[in-house]
Amino acid sequence: MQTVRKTAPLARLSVSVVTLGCAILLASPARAEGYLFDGNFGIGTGLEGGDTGSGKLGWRRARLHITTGIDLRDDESQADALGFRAFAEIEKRATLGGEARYERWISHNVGAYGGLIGVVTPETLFGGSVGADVVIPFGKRAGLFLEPSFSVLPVGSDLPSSGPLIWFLFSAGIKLGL
Amino acid sequence: MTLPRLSSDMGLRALLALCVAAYALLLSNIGCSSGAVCYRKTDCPTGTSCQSGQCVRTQALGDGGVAGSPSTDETAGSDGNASAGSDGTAGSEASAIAGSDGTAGGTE
Repeated sequence: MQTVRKTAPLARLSVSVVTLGCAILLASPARAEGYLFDGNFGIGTGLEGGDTGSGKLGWRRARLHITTGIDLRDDESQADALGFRAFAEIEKRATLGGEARYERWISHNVGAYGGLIGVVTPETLFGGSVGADVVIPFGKRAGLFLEPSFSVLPVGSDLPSSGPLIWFLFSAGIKLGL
Repeated sequence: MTLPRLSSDMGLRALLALCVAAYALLLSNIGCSSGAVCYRKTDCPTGTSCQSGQCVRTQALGDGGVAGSPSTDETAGSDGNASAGSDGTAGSEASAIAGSDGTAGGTE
């Protein structure tokens, strides 16, 4: 009887140590600061303004843009995000370009951004861009995004004159939480 | 009779839909310049350049520079007579084109 009383605390201690060991070894490592990824794919057009060389700004419908990209949001500060886009203009001579932007989300579904935008081939165009995003959610991870934007592109070999090219674009598409 | 109440979310969606429709209407009706005007070099086909809002053949511009007679006519480069007459540096090519055109011209 005394032997049982002496061994019981030892057994409890052993069980505790083993349990603790298992808990430590089997637990997945804690996640440090990371990024949440959102992917998107959209299409857009709008107004394109430019100078033909006469010094007068003219307007016409902008070429159709197909856009795809990702947003990286800090999981500890989800209001701030970095966005990267690649786009192609698919009318007339097709062009390929990209955009890097800082996004500030006012709520989970409404945000604004500013960044750098450029066309890289077959001619070049570079400038700045600002815009807004509204996401209409479809379920937990998907949504329809609507994106009005304003871009001024004053530099590049695609410009026939010294005047900048101006885009008022409206894009819409699918946004997915990855 | 009571009207169904719209939630703020539905109201927002309706507002967005209206904005999209208005934007589409604006794009279709705004007095934009026609597609013939170029604002970018990539508005013009390969081999042409945007000059004063018009697409101009790069070859034609080069010929014009040599001959001293600027040409913005897109057919200028393919017209054997015009090339032969204005571009003395392209003798072999021009004579070949001029020969075929000359035959046609003689029959006209």
